[in-house]
Amino acid sequence: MFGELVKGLRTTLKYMFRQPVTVQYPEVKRPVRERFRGRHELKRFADGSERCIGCSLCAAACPADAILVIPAENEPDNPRSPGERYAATYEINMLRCIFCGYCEDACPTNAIVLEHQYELSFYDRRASIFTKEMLLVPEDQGHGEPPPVLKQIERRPSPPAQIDL
Amino acid sequence: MPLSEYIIMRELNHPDINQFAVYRRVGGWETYAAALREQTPAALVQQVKDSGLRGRGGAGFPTGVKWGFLPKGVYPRYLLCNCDESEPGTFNNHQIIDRNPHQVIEGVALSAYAIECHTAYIYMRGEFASAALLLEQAIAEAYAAGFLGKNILGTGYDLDIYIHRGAGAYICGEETALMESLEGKLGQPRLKPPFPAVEGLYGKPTIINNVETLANVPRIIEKGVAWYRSHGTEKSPGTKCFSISGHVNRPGNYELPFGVPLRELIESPEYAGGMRGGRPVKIIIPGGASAPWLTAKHLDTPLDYEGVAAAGSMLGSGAVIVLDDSVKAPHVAYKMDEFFKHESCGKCTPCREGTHWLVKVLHRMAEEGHGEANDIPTLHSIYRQMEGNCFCLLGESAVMPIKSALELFPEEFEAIVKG
Amino acid sequence: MPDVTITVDGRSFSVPAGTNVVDAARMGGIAIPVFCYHPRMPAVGMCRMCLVQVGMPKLDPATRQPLMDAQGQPVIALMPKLQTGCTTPVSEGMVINTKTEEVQFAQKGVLEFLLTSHPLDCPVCDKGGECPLQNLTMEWGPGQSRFDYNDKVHFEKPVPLGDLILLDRERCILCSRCVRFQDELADDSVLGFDHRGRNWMIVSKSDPPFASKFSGNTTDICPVGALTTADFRFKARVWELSSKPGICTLCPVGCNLNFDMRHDRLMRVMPRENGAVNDIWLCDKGRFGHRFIEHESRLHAPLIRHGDHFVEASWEEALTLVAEKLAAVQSARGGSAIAGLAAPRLSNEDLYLFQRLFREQLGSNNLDHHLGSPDDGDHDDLGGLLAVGKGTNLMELGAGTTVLVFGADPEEEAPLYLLRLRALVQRGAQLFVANQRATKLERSATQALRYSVGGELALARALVRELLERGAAERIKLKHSGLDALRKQVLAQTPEQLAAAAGIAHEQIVALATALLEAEHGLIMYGAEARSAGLALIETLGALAVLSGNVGKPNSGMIALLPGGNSRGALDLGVRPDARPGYVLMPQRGLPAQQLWSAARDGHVRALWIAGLDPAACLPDAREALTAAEFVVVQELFMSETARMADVVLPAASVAERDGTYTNAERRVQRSRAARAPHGQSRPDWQIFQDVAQMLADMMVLPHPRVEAEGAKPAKAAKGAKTAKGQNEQVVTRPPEPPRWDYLTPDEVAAEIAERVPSYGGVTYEALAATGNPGVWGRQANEAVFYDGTSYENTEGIGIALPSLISTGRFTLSLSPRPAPVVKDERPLLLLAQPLAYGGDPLLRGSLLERQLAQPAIVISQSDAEKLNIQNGDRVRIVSAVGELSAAARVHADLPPGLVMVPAGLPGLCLSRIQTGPRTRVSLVKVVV
Repeated sequence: MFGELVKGLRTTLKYMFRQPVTVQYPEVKRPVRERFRGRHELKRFADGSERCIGCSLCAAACPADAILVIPAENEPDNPRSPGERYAATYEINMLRCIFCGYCEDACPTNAIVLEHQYELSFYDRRASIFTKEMLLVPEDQGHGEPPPVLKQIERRPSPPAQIDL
Repeated sequence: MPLSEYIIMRELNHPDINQFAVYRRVGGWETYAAALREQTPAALVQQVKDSGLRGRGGAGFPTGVKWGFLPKGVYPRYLLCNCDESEPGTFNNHQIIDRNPHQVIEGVALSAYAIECHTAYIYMRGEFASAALLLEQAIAEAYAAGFLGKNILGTGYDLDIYIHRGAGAYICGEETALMESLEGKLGQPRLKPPFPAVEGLYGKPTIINNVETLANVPRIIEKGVAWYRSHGTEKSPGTKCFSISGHVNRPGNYELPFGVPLRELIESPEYAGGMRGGRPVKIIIPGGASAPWLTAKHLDTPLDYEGVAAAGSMLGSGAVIVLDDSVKAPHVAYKMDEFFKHESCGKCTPCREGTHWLVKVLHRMAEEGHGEANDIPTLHSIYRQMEGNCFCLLGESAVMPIKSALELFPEEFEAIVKG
Repeated sequence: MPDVTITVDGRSFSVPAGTNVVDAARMGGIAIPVFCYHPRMPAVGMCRMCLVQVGMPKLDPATRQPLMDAQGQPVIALMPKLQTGCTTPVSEGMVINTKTEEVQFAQKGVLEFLLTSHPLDCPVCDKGGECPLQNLTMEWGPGQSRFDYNDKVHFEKPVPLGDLILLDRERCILCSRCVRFQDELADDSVLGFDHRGRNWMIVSKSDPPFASKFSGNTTDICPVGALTTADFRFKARVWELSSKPGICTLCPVGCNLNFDMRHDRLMRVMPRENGAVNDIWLCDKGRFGHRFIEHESRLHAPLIRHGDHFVEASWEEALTLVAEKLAAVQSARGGSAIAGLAAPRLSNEDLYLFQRLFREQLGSNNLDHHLGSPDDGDHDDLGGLLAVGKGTNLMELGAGTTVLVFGADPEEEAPLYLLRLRALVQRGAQLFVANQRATKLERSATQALRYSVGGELALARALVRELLERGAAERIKLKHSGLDALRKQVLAQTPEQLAAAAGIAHEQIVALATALLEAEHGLIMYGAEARSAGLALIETLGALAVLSGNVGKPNSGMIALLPGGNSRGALDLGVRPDARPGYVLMPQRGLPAQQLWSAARDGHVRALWIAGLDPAACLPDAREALTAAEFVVVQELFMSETARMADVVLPAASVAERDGTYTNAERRVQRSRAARAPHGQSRPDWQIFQDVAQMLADMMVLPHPRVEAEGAKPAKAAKGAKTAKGQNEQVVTRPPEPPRWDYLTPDEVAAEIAERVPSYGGVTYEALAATGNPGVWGRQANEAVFYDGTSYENTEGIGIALPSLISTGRFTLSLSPRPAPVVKDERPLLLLAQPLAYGGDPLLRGSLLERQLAQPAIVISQSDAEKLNIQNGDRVRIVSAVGELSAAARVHADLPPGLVMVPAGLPGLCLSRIQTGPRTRVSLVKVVV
């Protein structure tokens, strides 16, 4: 009887001096794995242009139908992304998203990346829709060069239409 | 041995034979006048058929047989004389016209009468400005002398000959592209069938012959079939105007009977006079840029359609290009394909894209000396993807240089790849 | 054609001789990939994608019989090279291999070659997802690219070929489908090629660029994303779209189309295959002209006038007000003080309920679908009476068919007929185009007959005379009357006199008469210019059709090109003052639109209901009338000029927002479905009519349906106004009690129409959904190529062709001739209101076509211009008996002297101000500044 008591106390004492497993969330935040799939970010190229070209392949790949992309044509003088097309609207419904990462896989320009932010809770459903402004990373945090297919390289000016009347 | 009497380059050495009066004096236009008065068109066609005259434009198709393809009773018909000589290494048409335009006109007129057509066109390569002027003048003189126009020589036969100058496209030497161009359209080949003899220019039966072919006709009618067949070989009767160029001492046009060995053409002092600087023969292209290559071991090949075909090439237009060992095969292939790429009309995919790709790779290898590991298999697959799949013969021709170069001199390509 | 048996990949089956290998293999369910080949165009064999191995049975040279091998199988001689399937016709015993290593190597090779110049920018390409190049690459192409992107040729992009079509030269694979479509099918040679080799490229060679009414079709048949429309550019990915089947109501052809929607927004309009109507094509008006559906200026709520301005109201308020006011007018002054106009673009259900509302609830016959402008003309009944018969399918016609297009400009009035008639000619039909001026269709005609200005009646009579001379009268099988009078009239003049009056050589007239007489199928199409000559001409054309035996059978008869998408439906369903649905003539006729304005001005008509028409825009009389009227209801999509003058404005749902059926020029009834929710609070027209009718029914005692009791007489359509002679006295039985106003859905209305309107029997929504036999274009092998990945497939019904009225036996055709209209005006020139596809149609608002709208101009002939010393661009004035009009002059070399042409319906150029009738004589004055 006493023996059992000591045994139990020993266990208690042992764990009293150990590092606790739990952390004091939200004061303390546990780091996540590198490949953790959290809230999405829309990336940029090193020159600050948006990586997203509005192709909607992420929306097509999304099994939860959480993504809405409405594309538009870039203004030639003031393009938002390399190439002709960009996403005028880009919205993700975080309540619908299942964080499967298919959108990342589908993205031809690596524009959408599931990052490490996981604190996604909302007071109303409308707030769960993340717009493009919320998803885009700041302009100085771009990386990489646009692929050649999107660059207007070596573009030969097309000759004007011939008129033979 | 030079010929005692030239057929195509008639009176070659007669001074001023390109003057109308001189041509008349040596008997020019007499055959035509006589034929108009005394012979029926059918008889003329039969004589040409019997003579075994073969088209000199490249394919070597019997001319008389071609004329026989015309559907009976469908008029009007057209005769087109193809003088769009643009293939690298080919330059005899130009010289035939330069030397004796009247014989060409007479040949056209006589052939037109034979196939019962009243309008003939001579399609001239645009660059042949001087030749076109000569022909224009010769035609004007023929009109003035009453050999062309309405009711010729009182026989009731009408004939007009027009000269049309192209705008610098090799493809317009292809017969259907030539017709398109003549009709004022983009110079691109047409779908065959229908063949031109059935449905050609403006949808009417049309015969297209090369300048050299038609230049033969007056002589055949004048001197007879037997005389004509006494030249050349059984299957390739007559003579051929060989254009020899490349690393030989005396490049130029030489009229020889068919069947003369290649070696004689290259080495005889009468003709090309041997290789420049005595260097060894490396590549012989016997029929213009689109013919498969031969090498020194084929020097004894007889120069007729069958002989060259047996050696694995084709006589084509009889343009012999001889290259010595100072050239690299990849470079030759590059230059030739560069030509075909430039001249590809763009209508069919394999030719348009294949030549573009071939040249891209060959340029890098031959000009920049830089090869990549899979260049040789790539080149092989490109030409195999083109071979037999193109719309007309231009694309097929573009295959020949690279195919020959890879077959005959693979080590030179490998050397480039190895660096 | 006899069938031949071929063997494709070891499977033997029969196909019609002369079919090409690609189509033949498809019939056997075997796909051969193609890029340049298109079944609607002659094969060219350029892209080399369809290379296959072809073998022929070896023939014994002596007996010409196939040689047999030891097993008794024919010995097959394979052709030395691969053949292009699209250019190789099949023949008996042919063996085709599409899957051998050699063929696969060639196919892969061609695809690899194509991809060496293609940027593969699928993610940003509008064709991505419905792209044959994508699909064929997946199935037949190489998996890996050996060609570095940086070695590819790069071009500036996009190159606008015109306002509507953009070219991406990098993506173009140079198949020339677009160029051939424009040259061969559309007869607008506006595209061409420039340069050669790898620099070969499509250019637009017209001014203005890509001037064609069919340009949108090139983007459909483009097998890559090289041609895209500015209308759909970067709007959506195609897999996000849901296609809602609709009917185009912008012209009388009634093309089948799909509204491609993403959620509730219209992204683009695509053709929907219907061999009997539009094949797989759609004109630019139909394709780009439907942006009005989502235009921001659409009315979204009912409006009630309060003094000078409108106040938004609830439907309840607005409808109650309408019902009360109408009931008040009705009880005070009777039904004849109320009048209604409904646009000929409303659906059959709307029109049917509109006339029921007026006839049964308000007791008024003052109904019309015309605008009430001086050039309205008579109601066209002959186009229904002698309409092309049941079972008509222009796709099946070819050799043995004669088509006469009389006084019409199909390119402008009904653009798609141009493509269809041209296809008919290409299949061997004879096309005669009779007009006083040059039209585009004339270029495709077997024979063009340019009658002199005002000579159309003489030409028609000359034709009738020729037929009568040949004893055609004896062969008439229909019930008819008045033949002797007709004979007397046309025989009064010699053929020479008539030919001279028509300005056409007698031989041409004989040739046309012969062609009509000998034709297996004969079609007579007539348009605005013929109708403006009055019923005398139309009836003579009708006599021509009857005498040549081309009525009452399939593929033969008359096709009237009437304005609006559903004029025929309005006529069939009795939105007219003189007849009930089914051309049942009324003894007591109401006021036609033309008399309405004066009646309203004079206070005889106190209340007006105008649905979808805008008379106030151009008719000063109408404005006066609307001001004078006590109560005006306007039911519209937009705040039109007329709506501004209304007391109550009711927002109506557009064609894409409701279900409905429409009757086209050939009297084919087709169903259109709702593609989206109605804009704002707008409601379908039929529902508005029903709601008001319900209220009225509750409010007042039904006026006794007096007309019924007297026994309705079937109209002898065209001649209805004249006499009763020869009329059939058959009484149409109908249910004693009119149906109640409790339709839940439009198909209940349609079912009632089917029950109560004789010629619409059987036209229910179920029946309309039948698709018939799947045509060449049904889902099958190679569909990616033929549908271009996009579905033109018609799963929603191809409609029902109504029988011509004459074939029902209820009507008697009167052949007795009408005298030619007498024109007293001595002015030298004839004014022609030129109907234009891109005229002032208010429905084109918000579309890219707005940029191409016709400019106000007075078009005059070269010789008239020289006489008056007028240059292009000079300001000129035309003066008629009632008014004058001025605009810039445009001198047209091909216009006959004596004719002045002014675009009809332009907001800035009100023709009705100077018109005195269907035909107006004017004089021309140069304005000296």
